[in-house]
Order: sequence, then C-alpha cells, then structure tokens
Amino acid sequence: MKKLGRGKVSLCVGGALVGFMVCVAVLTPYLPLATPDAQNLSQQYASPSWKHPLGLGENGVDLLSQVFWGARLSLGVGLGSVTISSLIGLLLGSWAGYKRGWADMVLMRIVDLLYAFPGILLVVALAAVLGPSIKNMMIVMIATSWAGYARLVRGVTLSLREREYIQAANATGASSWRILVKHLWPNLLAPLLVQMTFGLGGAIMVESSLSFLGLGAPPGTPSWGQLLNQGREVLIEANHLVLVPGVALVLTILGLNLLGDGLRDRLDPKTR
Amino acid sequence: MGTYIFRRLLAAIPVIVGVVTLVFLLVHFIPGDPVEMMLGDAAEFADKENMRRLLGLNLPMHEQYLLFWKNIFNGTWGHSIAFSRSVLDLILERFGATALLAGCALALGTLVSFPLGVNAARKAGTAQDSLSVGFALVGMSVPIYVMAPIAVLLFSIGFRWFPVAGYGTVAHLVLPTICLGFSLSGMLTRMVRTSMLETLGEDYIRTARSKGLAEKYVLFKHALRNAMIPVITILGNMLGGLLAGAVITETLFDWPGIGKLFYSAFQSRDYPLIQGVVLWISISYVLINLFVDVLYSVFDPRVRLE
Repeated sequence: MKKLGRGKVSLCVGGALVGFMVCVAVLTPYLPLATPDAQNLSQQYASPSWKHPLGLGENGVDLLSQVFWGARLSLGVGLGSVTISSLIGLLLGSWAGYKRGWADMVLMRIVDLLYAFPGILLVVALAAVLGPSIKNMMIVMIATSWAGYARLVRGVTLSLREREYIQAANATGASSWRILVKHLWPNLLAPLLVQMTFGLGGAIMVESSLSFLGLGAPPGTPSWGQLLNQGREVLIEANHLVLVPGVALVLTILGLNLLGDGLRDRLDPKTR
Repeated sequence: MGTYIFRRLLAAIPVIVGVVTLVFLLVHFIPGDPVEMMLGDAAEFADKENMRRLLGLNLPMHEQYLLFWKNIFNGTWGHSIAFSRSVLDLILERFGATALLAGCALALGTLVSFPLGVNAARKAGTAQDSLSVGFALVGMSVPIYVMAPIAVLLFSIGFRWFPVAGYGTVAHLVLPTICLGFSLSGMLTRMVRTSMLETLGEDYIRTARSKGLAEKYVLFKHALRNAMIPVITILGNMLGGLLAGAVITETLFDWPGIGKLFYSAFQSRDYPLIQGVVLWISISYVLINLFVDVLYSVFDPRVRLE
C-alpha cells in the first residue's frame, strides 16, 4: 500500500514540474518578456531587480527571458530527438524481434557497436566533427540514442511473440505487418512510454552538456548549457548566472525522473 | 574458467574492430573539407596540400583505413596537429590524472551508496527508505556542471577550504571527487537498493532466517553477495561513463587529464587527436567490460556454464 502511495506522489509532483516546464516552453513567445538577446552593456551581470526579476547575464541580457527561451530549446530538442529515435527504435526493434533471422542479427550487431562507446563520448565526438548547430545536435542525439529504444523494443517483442494471441493471429493468416501494428505495438507502448520519459531527461542533459561545451546551440541562442558555461567564469561577481539555469535544469530533470518512476509504477509494474 | 576467459577475449575482437572502423569514419562525417575546416578556407594551397599529405587524406579511402590501423600498431596513434606530437604520447601523459580522479570518485560513490542502499532495502517503506530514495533521485538529477559551480561557490569561495580548480595536491582532488562521487552515488544507491530488495525476497533468504541465522549473516553473507552481481555490471558502466564524462569534469576543474585534452582537441579542430582520445576511451571501456564479465564469472559460477 505504501508503495502505491509513493508512486502516486511521484506521478503528481513529476507531472506538475514537467507540466510547468512544458507550459513555459509553449507560452514563452506570447509572454511579455524582454527580447532574449537585447543587450544592456552598462548593467552586465546586474542582480535581480523589479524590472529584471532574475537579474542580467553576459552583455546585460535579461536572464528570465533567456531561461524561458532556454526551456523552449531544451524541451524542443529533447522531445524532437526522443520522438524520432523512439520511432526508429520501435520500427526496427519490433521488426527484428518478430522476424528474427539475419535482419535481427545485423541490427543487434549495430546496437552492440553503439553500446561500445560509453556515456556521452560518441555524442561529443560526433558533435565536435559536425560543428555546432541545432540541426546537427538533433542528428547526433538521434544517431546515438535510437539503439537504446531498439534494444528495449526487441527484448519485449521477443517475449510477446511467444504469447497465444500472437500465435493465434499468425494462425489465422494475418500478415506480419498486421501483427506488428495491431497486436504488438499496442503492447509495446507502455514500456516504450516509460523509457521515453527517462530518455527525455537524458536528452535534455545531453543538450545542455553539448551547449555547455560549445558544441550544441550556436553562440547567441539562449540555452541553459551556455548560460551555465558563462556563469562559471563569473561565479564570484554574479552567482545568479549559474543558479538560475541550474535550478531550471535540475527541476526539469527531477520532474522527468519522478514522472518516469510514477509511470513505471502504474504502467509496467513488472520491471520496477 | 580458462576457456571462458578465452571465449570472452575472442568475442571482444570484432567489437574493437568495429570501434576502430567507426572512429576512422568520424573524420569522413565532417561536412566539407576537413583540411579547410582546420586551416580556414583562406589558407595557401600549398599549406592545404601539406596538411592533406600529413593526415593521409590524399590517399584513396582503403589506403587511409590501412594507414589508420598501421598507426595504431606502430604506437603513435597518428600525429596531433596542434601539439605536433604523437597522439598516444599525449594520451599516456594525461591518462594517470584521469584514472586517479575516476578511481577516487568511484570509491567515494561506492562507499556512500552501499550502506545507504542496503539500509533502504532492509527498511523498505519506512522514512529512512524514503530518504535514501530521495537522495538517489537528487543525485541522478543534478548534472555535474550544476553541482560543481555550486560546490565551488560554497567550499572554495565561501569557506575557502579547497582550491577552486587545478591539480597537484590532495586538496585539489577533494572537490572534483565529491562532485563526481555524489553524481555516481545517486544511481548506485538506487541499484543497490533494488537489487537488495529483490534478493531479500528470495526463498533462500527465508530459509536462512527460518533456521535462526543471525541477521548480519543473512544480510551480508547470503543477500549482499548475490545482490552484488548486477551492481558490478553497473560499476563497470559507470567507470566508462566517468572516462567519457571527463571532458566536462576536467574542463570544470581545470584537471590535466584526457578530458581536457579532448576539449582542447575539438576547440582547435585537431582531428587526429579527437580520434585518438575517442579510441582510447572506448577501447578502455571494452576492456573494462571484459574484466567485469570475468569478475562476474568468479562471483557467479552459473555464468561460466552458459
């Protein structure tokens, strides 16, 4: 009983945090904010005030506006890359897991190869080679993260394909595609959704890591990673420059982790 | 046992070949001309040609690939443009610093997370458990580049206990170790707790308890040993992640390891050096995993029989 309670709390708190961030990301262009790149050189790094509630950053840009636009970038890039890579993973993973044979073998070797690079190594290397831009960042994130979804989907498919209802569908002469779309995909949705929630947190961390290293969003684009990098240079004079984007980033990732935990409790109690 | 290790070694070879091939191809993913990217398009034609020859980019693709392998085996790993030196020498000089930091962080993370995780599993559902779960969640949600400036603000600028950044004394090691160790202990506490919870539900634990065994034997001798098995794999993964994440940590703390080398390599578009560092870290990772696999078979003889 106690467990259930904790799951519900996770779901509510996580959902509220993520919901708030999504609202910010969606509504930012319509809010009465300062232009994010409007400079105010005489007041560079000024502390919070009535006019600028979160203070000013490098070149005197309004931090509130920067952080809100940064949320849009982080969530946009994160959602985009997670959606595309999970779709690729769903298609390839379920096909390979259901059909087995050489397609499965080739796919799993590619997945193994991508897994041979630890952590963010391949992401950073590819981003360094392609150069900083939002498009390249998305390409790199998709190229390195689809394998995780494919591996998960394949694993679940392998166990599902032995179930009676799949065998029954097969016996009635349903085509492979029909079995995939009608019978397998609906049952893959729950674990995939849980993975996507955690994946979105991971993607946002990757986005800000790349931007922090100067390999993500091009200079001048409001992004949490870039703000954190600028703030670290002026830690003594203006610590709000680190704290503001830091808190935004941590709350977003915390929210997604909580939401993922809550969803897993509710949708997929076996894998807890 | 011997045949098991031999089999694992054999299985690692195609992975390493794949890694080398992908790292080789990295330079060919560059949009446009890598030489122009390095020197700028205003560079003299002769300079560009020299650079092309130096990197072997004037050769046909298959010869470039062979050259890449030859460089690996002759112990240079290619030639760094920015440093004008052999890539492997540059890496070897700096790897000690990275390994030291990674080792200390892993040790701290383990020391914190094992007691926390075991205790949480034992008292599942209580306030102590919730505290550990909360700690783990925060550890997993605070990236190192948020954690580090806040730690510096508190302990270096506020209390003046430790230097802000740099390398050389034990004091320099403290802050990076704490920041990294904290990040690791989040994930680890969670893994230890989950694994321990699962093990504590097993029949043999009930048997051990019902025959009247003292709780500490049940916990440490029967449960923890078995719960360790999946945790060892995670530790191996984390060590790999630490090596890869060094590029951020070492940039933050001005730590002279391969992460900082990597950072300077992509700042100066030193492609051979980028390739060298990526290759070094990923091959280390493959070898760490190999070692973990072997360790696994020591802890759990069932693995060997598969």
